[in-house]
Amino acid sequence: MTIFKTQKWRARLVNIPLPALSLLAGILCGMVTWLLLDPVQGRHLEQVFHNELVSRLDVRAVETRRRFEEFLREWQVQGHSLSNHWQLITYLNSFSWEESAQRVRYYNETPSWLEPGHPRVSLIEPTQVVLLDTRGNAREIYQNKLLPFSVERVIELYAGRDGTEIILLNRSPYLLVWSNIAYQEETDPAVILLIIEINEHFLAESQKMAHGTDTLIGLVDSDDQRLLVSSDNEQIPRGSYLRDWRESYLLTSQAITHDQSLEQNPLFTTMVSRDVVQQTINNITKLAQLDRLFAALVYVIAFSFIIYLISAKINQVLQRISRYGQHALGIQQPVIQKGNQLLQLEDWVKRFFRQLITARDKLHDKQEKRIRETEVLKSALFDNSMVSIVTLNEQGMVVEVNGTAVKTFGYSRGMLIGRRFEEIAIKTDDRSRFSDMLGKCIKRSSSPGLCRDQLMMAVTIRGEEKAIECSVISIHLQHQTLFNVYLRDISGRMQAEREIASLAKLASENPNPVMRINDKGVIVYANDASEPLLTYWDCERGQTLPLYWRNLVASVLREGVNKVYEINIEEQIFSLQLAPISEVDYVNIYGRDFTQMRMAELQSRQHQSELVHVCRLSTMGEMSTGLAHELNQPLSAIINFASGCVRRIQSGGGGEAELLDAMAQITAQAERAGEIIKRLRALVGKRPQEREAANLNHLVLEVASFIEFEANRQKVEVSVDLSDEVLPVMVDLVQVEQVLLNLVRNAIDAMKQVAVGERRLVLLTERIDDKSVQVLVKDTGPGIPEETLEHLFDAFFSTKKSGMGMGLRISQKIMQDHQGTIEVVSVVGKGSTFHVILPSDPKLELPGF
Amino acid sequence: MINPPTVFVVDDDQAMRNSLKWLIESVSMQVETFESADAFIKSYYPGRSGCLLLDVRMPGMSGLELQEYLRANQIAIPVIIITGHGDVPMAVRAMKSGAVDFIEKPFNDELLLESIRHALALDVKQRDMQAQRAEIATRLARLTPREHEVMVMVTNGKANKEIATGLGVSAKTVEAHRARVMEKMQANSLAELVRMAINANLTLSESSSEE
Repeated sequence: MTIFKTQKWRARLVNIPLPALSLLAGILCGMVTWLLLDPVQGRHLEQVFHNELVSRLDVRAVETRRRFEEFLREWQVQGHSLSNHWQLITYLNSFSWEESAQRVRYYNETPSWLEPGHPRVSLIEPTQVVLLDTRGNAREIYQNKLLPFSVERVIELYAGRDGTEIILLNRSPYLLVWSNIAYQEETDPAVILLIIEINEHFLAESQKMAHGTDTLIGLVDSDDQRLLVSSDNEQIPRGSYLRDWRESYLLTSQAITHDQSLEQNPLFTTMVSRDVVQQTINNITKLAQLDRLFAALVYVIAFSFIIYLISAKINQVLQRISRYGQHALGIQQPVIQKGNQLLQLEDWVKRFFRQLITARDKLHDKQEKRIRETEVLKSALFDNSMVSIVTLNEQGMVVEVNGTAVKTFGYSRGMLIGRRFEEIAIKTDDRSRFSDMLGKCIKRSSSPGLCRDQLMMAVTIRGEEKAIECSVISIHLQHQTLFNVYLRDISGRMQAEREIASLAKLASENPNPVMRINDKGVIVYANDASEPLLTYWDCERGQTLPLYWRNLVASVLREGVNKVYEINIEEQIFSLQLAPISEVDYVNIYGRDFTQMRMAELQSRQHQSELVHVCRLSTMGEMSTGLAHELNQPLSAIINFASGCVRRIQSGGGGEAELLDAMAQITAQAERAGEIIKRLRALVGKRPQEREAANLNHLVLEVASFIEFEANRQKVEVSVDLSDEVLPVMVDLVQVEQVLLNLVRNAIDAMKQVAVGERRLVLLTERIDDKSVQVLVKDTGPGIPEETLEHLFDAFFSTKKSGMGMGLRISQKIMQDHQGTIEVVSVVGKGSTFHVILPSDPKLELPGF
Repeated sequence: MINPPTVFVVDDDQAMRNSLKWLIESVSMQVETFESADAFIKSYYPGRSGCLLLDVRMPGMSGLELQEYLRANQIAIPVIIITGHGDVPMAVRAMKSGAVDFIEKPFNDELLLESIRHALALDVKQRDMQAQRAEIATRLARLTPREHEVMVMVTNGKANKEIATGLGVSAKTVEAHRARVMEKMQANSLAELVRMAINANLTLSESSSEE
């Protein structure tokens, strides 16, 4: 079941291309990594960021405190600048306080000694500005805002101080700024005192330079840890305990470093909302998470791309292997086109090995089969041997017989086995010799002994006597020696020998020469009719042939093919067929006296040649009239021109140019005449020759030139369409020319019956196939009626008044002589086409090519 | 104005035409050549004096056919036939059709020129004869029917008496008629009158009518 499932899965996977698979795997890996690492790394990062933030918050707290302190210092500077202000100095110089009168003067409006709008730092104005005399008594008080306590009381408590200090009055913090006024040259100066309430505005103003409002500050009573004031009173109400805010805020409390040490020095507290911190941490963590996600994506893409490249390469290699397997090794292995290469490679290799195993198994089977067959063959050989085989043991008892022995002697196998063979099957006279043979073989039993070909007489079950040839071979097995006795029934052979002896008479009584030559060239046999040949060669039976013939015999033996030679002995012509008998290295020579036949053949050929000659003469006779007429033309013209010249010269008339022109004409006409004569000679001057190689195209061209006059005279338009390739033929030029001439003249004659414009003759040559070429003689004559076609090639058949009726007959004879044919296709009313087909060997070398 | 006599050469072979022209012009005769009988017929108008040199074997209209045409159209230009070798039967036919001469190619220039001269002379003579015949015809026209009868009989060799008997008149009347005939015909002698009668083909027609 699992295997099946796996298979199914595998089948699906195989179809998915490796790049896609790799992409999937990459994404999966990335996801797993992400899921595993993200929480751990996230927590860790959060911790780190938290610590970092806390330390940063510490730094911020210090900075916040410093800013607060700076703000206090600015108030001190403000105090100094007030004390040195010209309005104040001018006011003080204008009078002096009465020492006795301890009266304090209060202002509710801005007094004259103060510039309106002063003093202030940022947006904070002091609640009270107090002038004190040199003894420290308050003299004049500007009340910007009413205090919940008496100013005199404060002065009492804190008189004699200098600089700034924070005091708590009714659990509210106030800032006191003392500053000496140097208006008189007295050592004890008057003092100006600023009292400023430290409320949430004050705290806010002190931090105005800082960015971000997420930090709250406040002052805390160092004793009971309660808030005196905070920068946001609504969130953090005054009087609340600091510990109540630890849950929601990060708190940092610091002592304010101050010039003056105070008992009631409050602590400066910085408060940052935990929510804000958490949000910052979350932001940062999210960013880090995005970072990781991006990295994971890059990783997936890079991984997939690399796998893709590798898979593409694997793909190529696999395809190459598959093709190689298909083409070179003939393995039916599909070429991998798509899908998962790795899995396919696995399949591929699996299949390959399966095929390998199959091939090996097949080979194994084949071998086994062969062995079995050999066994069967051996037993068949034994059983069906032409020779009777009897196996005897050392005591001469029959151990095994083959089928032939059973057949030959007529005893069944059971009757023979276990008995002495010679007592059953050997004639009484020969039994002792048989025993001797066995005895001899036993003596030699140390090595495989063989006693061969003893002639004995055997007796069959029916009492017949048979001549047998007996051979014994000993076979040495591990524990015993056996004898194979081979008994060849030679009664048949003896009969055959007698027949052969009678067959030999066939040769000896043959009236034609019959000889046998061995491979050394020695005449082994020659019958009586061979005498003339022996005389010719000047050798006797048992002697070697002359060297030339010895070589011929050797070459025939080598090639193993019959060959025929001819020899002329005085008046006689013999054809000798040399027939090799390769098995015994003999060559039989069968002679034939064919003097008579050759003579007849020669005569026939001569007759034909004469016939052709007669035919040619007649053609020539017919054609020469035309040629003579043609020749007359230029000759007459020449005479006329010459006579004209003579007369002009005699009479002194005629310009030189005129005469020269006439002479040029004479030359031209003479050349014309020469040309005609040349053609005439070409037609007449040839003599019958032997076959020679020629280009059929040339032959046709020559014929075309012969008939030019006649064609012109009959107004026949002749077109010659020759094959581009050379058409070599082995022919008697004159004879084949004669054939073509006959056909062409017939065509021209035939076309006399049609109108002048319609007379067209086409001579076309072409190759039909590897072995033959043809000439087409095509006319536009009246065509040949069917009843005429039948007799076309008969002797003495003519449709012409003057014809002998031999032209086509002779043409056909000539063509037969050349192993060619003439065929005719004719359409009555359209014209006739004669096909002259000749054998042609394209490889034939032409003279002059 | 009488044109000088022209030798018209008709031959299909250009070389022959050119050479003949060259030869004949050498004795200062005017030559015109034609490449076919057709061309000749188209350009020749009867009355041009001269002779015709004609090749027998020609494509298109043959020499013999041209001769036939001339005779049919009563163009009496003397014709010399040029034949190729072995065309004797054809030459005979040409001669029978009224050719002046025939010359076998290749030919002796002297022979040809002589033949041409002869033909031209013949042409002149023929033209003279024709003129004479015309003259005689006008004179004959002036004769009265009786005078005409008398003239026919006289030129047929009949004696005055015979004529008188034949016509049923007196011998004297015949004499008077005869004298007027001689006068009108401007004949100085009987022989002259007879020649005129032969020229005008009188004798034959009359004798046949007499029968």
